[in-house]
Amino acid sequence: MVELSTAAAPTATSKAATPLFEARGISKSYGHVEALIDVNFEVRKNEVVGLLGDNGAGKSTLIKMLSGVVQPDKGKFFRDGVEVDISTRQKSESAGIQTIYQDIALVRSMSIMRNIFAGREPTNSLGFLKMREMRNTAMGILDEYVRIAGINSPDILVEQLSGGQAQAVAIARAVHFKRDILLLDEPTSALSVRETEKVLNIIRDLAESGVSCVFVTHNLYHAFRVCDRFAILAHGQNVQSTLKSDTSLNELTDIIMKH
Amino acid sequence: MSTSNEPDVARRYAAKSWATRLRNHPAGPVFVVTSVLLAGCILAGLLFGGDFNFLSSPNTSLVLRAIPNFGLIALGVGLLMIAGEFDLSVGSVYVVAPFAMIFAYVVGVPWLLAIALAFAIAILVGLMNGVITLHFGVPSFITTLGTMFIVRAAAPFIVGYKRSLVFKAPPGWKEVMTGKTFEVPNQFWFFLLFSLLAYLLLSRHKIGNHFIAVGGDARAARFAGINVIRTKLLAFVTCSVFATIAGIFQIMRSGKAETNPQLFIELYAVAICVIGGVSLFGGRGTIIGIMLGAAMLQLVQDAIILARLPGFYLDMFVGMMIVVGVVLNQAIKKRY
Repeated sequence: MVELSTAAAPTATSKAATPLFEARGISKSYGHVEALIDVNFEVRKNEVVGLLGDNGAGKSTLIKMLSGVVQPDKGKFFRDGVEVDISTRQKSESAGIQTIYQDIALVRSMSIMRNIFAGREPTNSLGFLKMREMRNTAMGILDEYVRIAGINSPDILVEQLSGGQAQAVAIARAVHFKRDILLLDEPTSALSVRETEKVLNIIRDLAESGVSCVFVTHNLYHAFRVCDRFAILAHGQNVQSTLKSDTSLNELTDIIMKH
Repeated sequence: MSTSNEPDVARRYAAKSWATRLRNHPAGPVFVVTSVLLAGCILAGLLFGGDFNFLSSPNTSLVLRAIPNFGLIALGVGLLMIAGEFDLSVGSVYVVAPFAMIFAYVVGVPWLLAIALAFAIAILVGLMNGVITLHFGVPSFITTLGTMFIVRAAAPFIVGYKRSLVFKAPPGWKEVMTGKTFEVPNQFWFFLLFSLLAYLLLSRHKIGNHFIAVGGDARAARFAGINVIRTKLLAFVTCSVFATIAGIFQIMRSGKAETNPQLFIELYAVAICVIGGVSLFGGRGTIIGIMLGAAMLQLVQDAIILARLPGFYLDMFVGMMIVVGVVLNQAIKKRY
């Protein structure tokens, strides 16, 4: 087992290159509830790291911080070893991070196409939407990532989709706009078996094509299938960071149960 | 899973009949009702001639001048409702901004500058509504209820109640704004123009997409990187500006600016929007629906007047349409 030393400087892990992204000394309290206490987390190149832990461990809070939606009370973030500010969604995106949220976070009253481009609409110089480009791109995305019966038009409203279909659209959106890091916060919780398989395959393909993924999940079986490394949180604190090769599914379960 | 089979998909997607598409379109119901109403009025005009003078030139002019009056306000209110907020102060802005404009004009301020003053007031009130709502987290319904009273009292506060200022606009202005072109009052042409602009903003512009997003799900919009506060502030200002435009057309037509507020105009505007398919919960609504809602309201009012029914029939109707509209809103929500 490899214990992630909390106070270690990046150079201490001599065999690893500088991590793609690093969060150091992150603390966050909501009133007197300490959601995160001095947590360290890193994402390396071409890896899928599973962020594991039971309910209330702080996984979602950490993800929200990485995507710029929540600010830590204490701590710093580093991209390729250089400190960065990710205090807004835009800045987080500039740092290379795309996020898929647990509750899908699509606007239900809008069409798939409008949702895909919400916040990053392609426009001409006056701000008018390039409708044809949007439509073609949206249809391409639907074709490539979301080949699900029933979604054959980008004009379908998100509220007309099932939970799984909507999540698939959210994932397709993040993958389309992907940069270097994709955060997936419980992406398969609303999905069917078939859809889940598809998502797991997408995650593996992404890692192979150079996009690192942070996979938050309760399902240790899924985590064990796609992740290269596991970072475990409990009660807002680091417990362990382990490479898959150094552990087993049973061991992971034990660790999480124990804390 | 097979890739989409082109002919199959095209057939499946085009399978909906026009009747279904009409029913599903947010403005479908109001279109049907308004068309029926219009047909009924025309028929009654043809059958009853002098007893129901719908088709006479003075009557059609009246209706075509009246539709833009509420319609322009409703466009602004509707855009703001789509963005998820309300503005009850539009009735006060509708009166006060043009009054301030004429007040400045009669004391010597140049005409164009006076117009700019009216819009400056509109922008100020819009920002005030927006900042109080967004910064303090007060529901916009309540905020604008307050600003409605404040703004309504502003003009009489300065010049006293029941003051009306008669004025003469610079040459050409009255003719362009209140004359007729091809037998149709210019106000109506301008209404079509502003409706087109509103449509382009809402459906073809980035800002419109942001309006719909923040109105539909402000949290999801924020996660998508949209600046919710800036978007809503823009919507508040847009609403006040449309109300000011409506007010300016009104005083041009009557030749005088008054300090008496016109009662319930803000509620009529909301009613038009609800009738036209704009959702009270935000994120949903069409410009064509608002236009049709304005038309329907005026047709009903006109029919009631021509049939010599008492005026409260209109209020009864408006009230019922609001309730029906809200019930339909709920039904649509539950369907999904």
